[in-house]
Amino acid sequence: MASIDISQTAPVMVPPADAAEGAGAEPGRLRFEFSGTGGEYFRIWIVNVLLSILTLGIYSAWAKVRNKRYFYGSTSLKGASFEYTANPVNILKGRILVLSVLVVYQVVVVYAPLLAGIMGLAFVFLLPWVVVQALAFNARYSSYRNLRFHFDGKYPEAFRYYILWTIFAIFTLGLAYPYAIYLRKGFMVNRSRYGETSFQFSARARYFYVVYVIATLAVVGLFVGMGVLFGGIAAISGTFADAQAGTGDPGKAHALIVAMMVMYLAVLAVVLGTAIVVQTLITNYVLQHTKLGGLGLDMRMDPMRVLWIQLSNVVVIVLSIGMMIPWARVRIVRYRFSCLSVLETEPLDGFLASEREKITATGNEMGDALDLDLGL
Amino acid sequence: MIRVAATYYDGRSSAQRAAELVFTEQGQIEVSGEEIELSFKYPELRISSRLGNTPRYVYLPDGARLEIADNDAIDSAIKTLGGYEGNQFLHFLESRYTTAFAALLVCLGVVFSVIEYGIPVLARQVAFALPPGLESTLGREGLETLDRGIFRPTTLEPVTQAKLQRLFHTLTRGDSESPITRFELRSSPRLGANAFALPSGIVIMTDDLVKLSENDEELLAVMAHEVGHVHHRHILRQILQNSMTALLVAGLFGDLSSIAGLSATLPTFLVQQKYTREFEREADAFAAETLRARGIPAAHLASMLKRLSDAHGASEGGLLNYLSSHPATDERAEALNESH
Repeated sequence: MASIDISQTAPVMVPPADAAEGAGAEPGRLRFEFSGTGGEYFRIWIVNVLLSILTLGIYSAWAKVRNKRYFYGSTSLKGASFEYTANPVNILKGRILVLSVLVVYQVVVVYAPLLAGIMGLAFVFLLPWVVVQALAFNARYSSYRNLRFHFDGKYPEAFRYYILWTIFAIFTLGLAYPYAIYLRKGFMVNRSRYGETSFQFSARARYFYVVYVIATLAVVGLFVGMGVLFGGIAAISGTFADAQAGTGDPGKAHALIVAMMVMYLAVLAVVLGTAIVVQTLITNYVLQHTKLGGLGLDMRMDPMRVLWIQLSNVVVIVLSIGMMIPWARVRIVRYRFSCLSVLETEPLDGFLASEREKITATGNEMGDALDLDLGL
Repeated sequence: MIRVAATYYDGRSSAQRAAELVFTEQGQIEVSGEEIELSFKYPELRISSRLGNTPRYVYLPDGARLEIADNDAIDSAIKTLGGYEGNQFLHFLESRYTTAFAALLVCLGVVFSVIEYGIPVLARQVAFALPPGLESTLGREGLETLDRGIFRPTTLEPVTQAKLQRLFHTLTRGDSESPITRFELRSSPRLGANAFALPSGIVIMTDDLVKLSENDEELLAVMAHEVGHVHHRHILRQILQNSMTALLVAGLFGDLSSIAGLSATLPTFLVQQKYTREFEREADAFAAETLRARGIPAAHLASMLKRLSDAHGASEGGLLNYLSSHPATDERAEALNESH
């Protein structure tokens, strides 16, 4: 839910640059390098799966760290790699906590439905805290050039953007939804730091509205088109089957089952496809309007290319009964990083650690009140 | 003496400095570079474990860190330290295709056994251990929901209804193992000829099914099949097995992004359908047994199944079978005919 991956939007992970127009080998533009390969990652992944199974899931916390270490370590910018430094024990504790709460909730649902309702309401208030906790944990244990990232977002702000704005979006029949997404992205960027330097978000809500309005129109248009198409096919095949089999019930039923399955897949493809395109456009826009100190980021993913990669990944994963998961994952991450760059208008060497980090470095680690990973 | 090229980061700024690590024969580790001149004994610093071909990190006591690209160089240097092996076992497993292939086989074997035996056995144990009272709310609410939705009151003559009730109770009498059962008749134009078992032993038959039957033996056969579901606690076991399957698949595919995670829905669905087909077979076997105890040929269930599948125009066999919640009718009829 709230887990953040370097493969995803979060600017938390990624250091400085500038969103200047034009690409290519212009001076000062630094490209991310991703050196992970499907074969290498497959071996790491399968050992992770094996040990997780054999330890009844306990190893999964260590597996998560190894996974993230692999993707972080395979990513480099200007001769320095990213590093994931979380302690698996903290991840295990977080998982046990979340799992216990879910088990308790399941039991309560069966034996005390009223109490379950109260718990459900409590989860609503808990969600922003979980989001903040997960983002902070991930940022804290991500570093580049021996400087940590940080996320300083606090509960009240998260509660506004994740709960109040969601409710507001429902009451306005979705009209406020793009603005809610805009606020959430701003929250994630503005409250993130690299060392002592804060990220800055200069995006405007207008673009979010443009993307969501076009996406909504596209989905409606595609559904109407599909309805007409399938209606026509159903009418033709229905009469055809009738003519062939006289009263012909079985043939018709068979055709209907196939038609319904095709229809289901088509609806799924339209909804998913649109979601992927929207997500890609928003990610591009958000990163292009993210700065770190005097530097900015640039992200130029082609939505159609991402669509192709994601959908073909799903097909390949299903056909390989999951064994191509590592290949699929490396494939999409490699594409994302190939589109991400940084313009070094200010030396990359000039970032400073935050005061707290200096304390940490001398060994007086205070330890956060709750240093748990809640991003499952 | 082994020299390893590195990049030095002091932890106070992002400044990058070229550095060199020298592992001496005396077990001393010297770090040198621009304005850097340090010396350590091994336990004072920590070296990250190898992971594929990703860079390695050397953590110095003052919070500084060295990044090393050359994995082989640092590995051979580590050997000279003696005693310090780091976590080489995981790298041993991860670095060759033979171990990866072995891991894959073990994983497939474990997953297969869990689906084939682990989940069904566990669900059976739990289902029979749970108090029957747990199901009653589930059954009552289920029937209420169906009554508001697809069910209409039965339109059969009261005489017929009474006869069917009697018929049903001849089945359940003397069966102390089954939970208390209840027989209900409903009309449902949308479902057509059908019969179900709900949790807490409610058996429902539609008017259309009664009309479709040619004799009481056939109705008794269908009732016996549904009582079979009740007797074997199939509904509860199905709920348990489905959630366990979802948990297993989530565990295996769980760390996928939401989009790729969708590829997990198909295997979950296939496994769950496999379980329901097994329940149908078990209920058929129960019905055959019950009928035989009363001197009625199991062929009555087979003929009723055949007529039902004709009435619904279901497609049989082939690939679609894997998507189906019931085994193919021919296969069921064959099993029933063999059972006596």
